[in-house]
Amino acid sequence: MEKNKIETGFSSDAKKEARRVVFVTKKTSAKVVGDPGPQLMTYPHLLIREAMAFQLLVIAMVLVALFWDAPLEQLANPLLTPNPAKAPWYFLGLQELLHFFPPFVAGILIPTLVVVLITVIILLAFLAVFHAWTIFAPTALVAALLLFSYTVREGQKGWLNVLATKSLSWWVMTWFIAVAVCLTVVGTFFRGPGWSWVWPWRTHAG
Amino acid sequence: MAATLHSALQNLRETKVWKSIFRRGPANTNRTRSIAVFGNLFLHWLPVKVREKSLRVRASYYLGSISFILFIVLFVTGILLMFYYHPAVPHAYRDMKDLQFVVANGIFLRNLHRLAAHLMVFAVFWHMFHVFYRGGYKPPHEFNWVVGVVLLLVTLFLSYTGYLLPWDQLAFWAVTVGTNIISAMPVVGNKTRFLLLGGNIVGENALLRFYVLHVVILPLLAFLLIGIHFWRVQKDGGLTARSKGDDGKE
Amino acid sequence: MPAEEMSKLTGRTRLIFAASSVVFLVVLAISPFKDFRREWKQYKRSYLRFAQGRADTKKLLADYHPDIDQIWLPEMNVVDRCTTCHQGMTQASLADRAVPRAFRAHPPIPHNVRDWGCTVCHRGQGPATEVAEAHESTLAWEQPILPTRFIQASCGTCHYADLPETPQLTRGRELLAELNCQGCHRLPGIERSAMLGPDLTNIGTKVKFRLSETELRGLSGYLSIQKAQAVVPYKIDARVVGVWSNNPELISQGELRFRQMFCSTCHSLAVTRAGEIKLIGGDIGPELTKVGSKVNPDWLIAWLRDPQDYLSHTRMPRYGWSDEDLYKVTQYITTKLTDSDLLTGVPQLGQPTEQEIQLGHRLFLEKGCASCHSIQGLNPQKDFGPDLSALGGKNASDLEFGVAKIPHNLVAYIQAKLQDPTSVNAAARMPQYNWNQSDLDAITTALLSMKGPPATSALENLVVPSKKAVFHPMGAFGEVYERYKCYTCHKFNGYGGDLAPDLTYEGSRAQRGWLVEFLKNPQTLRPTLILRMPQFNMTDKEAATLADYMVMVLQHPAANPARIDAKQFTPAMVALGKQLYEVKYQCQACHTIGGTGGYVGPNLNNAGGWLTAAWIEAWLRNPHALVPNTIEPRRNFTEDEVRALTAYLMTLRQSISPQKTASTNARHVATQGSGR
Repeated sequence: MEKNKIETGFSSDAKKEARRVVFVTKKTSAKVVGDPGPQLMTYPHLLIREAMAFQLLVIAMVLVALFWDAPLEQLANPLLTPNPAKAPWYFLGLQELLHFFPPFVAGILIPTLVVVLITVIILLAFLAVFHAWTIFAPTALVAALLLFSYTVREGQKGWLNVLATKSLSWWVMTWFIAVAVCLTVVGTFFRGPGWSWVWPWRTHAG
Repeated sequence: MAATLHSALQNLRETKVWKSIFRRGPANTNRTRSIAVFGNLFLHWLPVKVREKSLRVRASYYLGSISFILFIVLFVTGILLMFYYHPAVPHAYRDMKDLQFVVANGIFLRNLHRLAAHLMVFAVFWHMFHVFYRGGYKPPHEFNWVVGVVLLLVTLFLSYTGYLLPWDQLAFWAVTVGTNIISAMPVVGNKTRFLLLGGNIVGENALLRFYVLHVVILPLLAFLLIGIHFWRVQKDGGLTARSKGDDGKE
Repeated sequence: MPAEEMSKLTGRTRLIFAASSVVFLVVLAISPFKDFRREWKQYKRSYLRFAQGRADTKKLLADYHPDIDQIWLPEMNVVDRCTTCHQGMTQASLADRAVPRAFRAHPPIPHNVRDWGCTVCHRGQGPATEVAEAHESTLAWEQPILPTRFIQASCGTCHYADLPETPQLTRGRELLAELNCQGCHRLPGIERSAMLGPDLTNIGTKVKFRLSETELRGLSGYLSIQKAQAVVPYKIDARVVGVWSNNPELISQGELRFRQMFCSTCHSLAVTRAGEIKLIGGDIGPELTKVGSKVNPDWLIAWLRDPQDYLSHTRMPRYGWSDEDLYKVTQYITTKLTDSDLLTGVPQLGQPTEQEIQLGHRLFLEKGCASCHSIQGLNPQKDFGPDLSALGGKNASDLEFGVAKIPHNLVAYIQAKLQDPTSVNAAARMPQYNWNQSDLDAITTALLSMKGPPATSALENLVVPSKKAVFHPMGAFGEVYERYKCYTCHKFNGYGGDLAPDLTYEGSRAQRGWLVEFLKNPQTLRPTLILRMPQFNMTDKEAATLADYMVMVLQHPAANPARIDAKQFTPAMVALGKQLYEVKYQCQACHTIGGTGGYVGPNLNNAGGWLTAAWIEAWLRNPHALVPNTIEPRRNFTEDEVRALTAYLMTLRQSISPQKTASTNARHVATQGSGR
């Protein structure tokens, strides 16, 4: 194994597998990526882990499903609009955006851009988001981290150094996650009638 | 006892029927184990060997596997639920009541399906973020990243179409709010919404369309894309490797 | 790494896998187990045990099976699984209170549970098989079980007509009509009451508006300038005034006439008895204790002479007053029926300013006054209050509870709103009423019964319509009928008041001569009653018109004059009849003739001068055919006995003499109005 980095542990006629050895970018010099380590047979090592993952996950879900009933409200009634009418949780971030921007921007443009963004990981210009604080706040936080990490000298130890070495796409993704989480959490827990701000612990009487 | 069992199993493996199905002996050598993997339809998209590091929990948190497992759970519970469901107004809602009050284990099935659906959306998101932070989108994995993004959208759409099916207030208004956004699209917005809902309002036609999307079209698409996704994981050299000292700096 | 090692699982992995496999299987078995322990299955088993422990096991378990029972009525959209647990519902032997509540038999009702299900009356969630889901208000079902004290509301959902079994519902509907709730709200089936008009006396004691000083000034100012129709003062004959104005007896004579005219049949006066203030008299018209302080004498005289001229829809009849009576009575009212303390402390208002009038005008409309009190040229706002036609079927989430600290359900909402409208909505314009608990519950019941129009045509067929009969005949009779407002007290074909006997078949019952005599001089028959027919001072022509019409039109088909001929009565028949009356059937147990007999039935002293032979004959055959709810029992008289009794009764005649008949008549009218 020490002799051969790509030792398969199998007879020599084994198929050699493609693997990245070197990665060269503009900024870095050629550098050998570290040893990928030993290999194990899929059967049984991976399979038994998958099986265990399956069992543990199902156990957990069954236990929850036994005692936590799925909500069912009244029969759909187009004449009776609940206030607020909320989308499923994963769209509440979008609904939060709708609160600040016209439907086209919040409902079409931004989601499309996000999909394009996470597909091709490119940087987009900042939008005027200053009054939409649920976007602005996490953006500012990420931007502050970004600026702060660039102002410190490289070579410093600890997390600042780690931050300073992150790529731009890393920052964009982190920004996206921060904004998405912030919007979703606010939309799920902190919005009441008329999309007004409510504290989740102050429930309505009765 | 154990010996008898073992020999019984051995005898079973010697039978013609067993051999006609599995076409190999016991998987007790690396060679037979390899054959077991790539000779099996359901396992052949896995590599024969995996890096020990990739198997560690922290390498992936098994998020891809978890997403797939959730999909399988959804598939099974979903098919069982289909036995009790009519995509019509107001039968759909009545069927929810019957699941709760009459069908044996009905509410459990629904709970499980719903829980798995939400977890799957969550797991797929987490999977994507995790892959991103591990640099899993980088060459040679770009295509698989794109497939993954499409799978994410399919997952969201699956969950969203399923959301309408109980036909209660929650479902109705969540879908109404969601589909109203579509009309904001320039030029084709209203047409798209009409196409999706089969009308201008969320009604019986919308329920039927969402049902067909939810139980036929989107699951087929998801299976196809999951197949491609798995296939490409293997063909692109397994999970992105990170050796010691590699902390994400590229 | 050696090949062997590469493929070998560690012992720990195997152990974890083994453990997780076991847990996996165990966990999957929980749900079937839980399913076995479902509430309804436990009720099923417990009923089985319960029934086996009783003597009539076989009967109780006749249609027992361990699955879900349901009553399915597709045309009514009812799926009731209540009987899954309530298995003893139709078992008569399980009626006593010792039986567990869930298995107890339903009390007898006119409907069959199998035909109607449970939720039609009791509400709750029919398809549910869990106790909480079936009975309580949940996220998915906001129609919880209707509390039993309002159960009559469910009768009213289909029975728009009043039922004798639902007094609370009937009372509630009466209250809705009486308080003119439909002046502001849409309330199907509630007739717009005739008691709307400028009369505010009663409303002052019942209703509380939150008005500021300025608003009060504005409103009173606005009302004080409403003089569209000037009162033309009636000049009472100067000779009458001359004779009476200085007579010390004037006031007491006025009071006597007031009593003799039987004003108290409709109007009450407050009387202090044993330190308690009591209202004596009827409640058809307003209380008059302090009316002298309220009205001006010119208006009073004009009103008494012709109330319908001032207020066309008033229920007050037009009396034929003589100038003398008019003078005495108005003097009595303006002198005695006053309260000198009433106006102390009330600020003297000057001429209202333009601003105050404007404010008053606005308030009059805004507060909804115009919905009950008409002012010429001022149209009440349409749909002033919310539509209540479907209130009884509303979900709690359809209602605004505001900050009220009450349970979020329909019953609590209705009661809170009725008791204090501002408690659930600070901007409510509805006045606050002072209810007692039974009226509050009655009106809640009536409101709960209003679940809107039936959803399907199948359900429409279930509705028992209310009688909308209005009896306003035309012609000469109609004129007199309107003038004396007969329908205020009497019923005609289901239309009219309940105070006096139903006159629908009066033409069959009474002889024309008796009718004329009675109409002209009613009090001579029953002088001691407080509530009785007033002295109208009818002319002969009017009395004849009324009597002719009644004899011609108000006929009962069962009383057939052709079947009996008074000329054929022989003394022998009369003697036989007398003997039957006194000996065989002992009629004197209830009826009085000549001062002896019981007081349960009507006095028959003048039966021959009052009743028609046809009526007596038909009555003896089957009293219930004529008056369905009379207490008179039906006897199986033979043909001869009927004739003989009729012949005997037709011989009973008595010249009208108040002294003798007084007490007996008083008794029978008080106890049993309809069966005279």
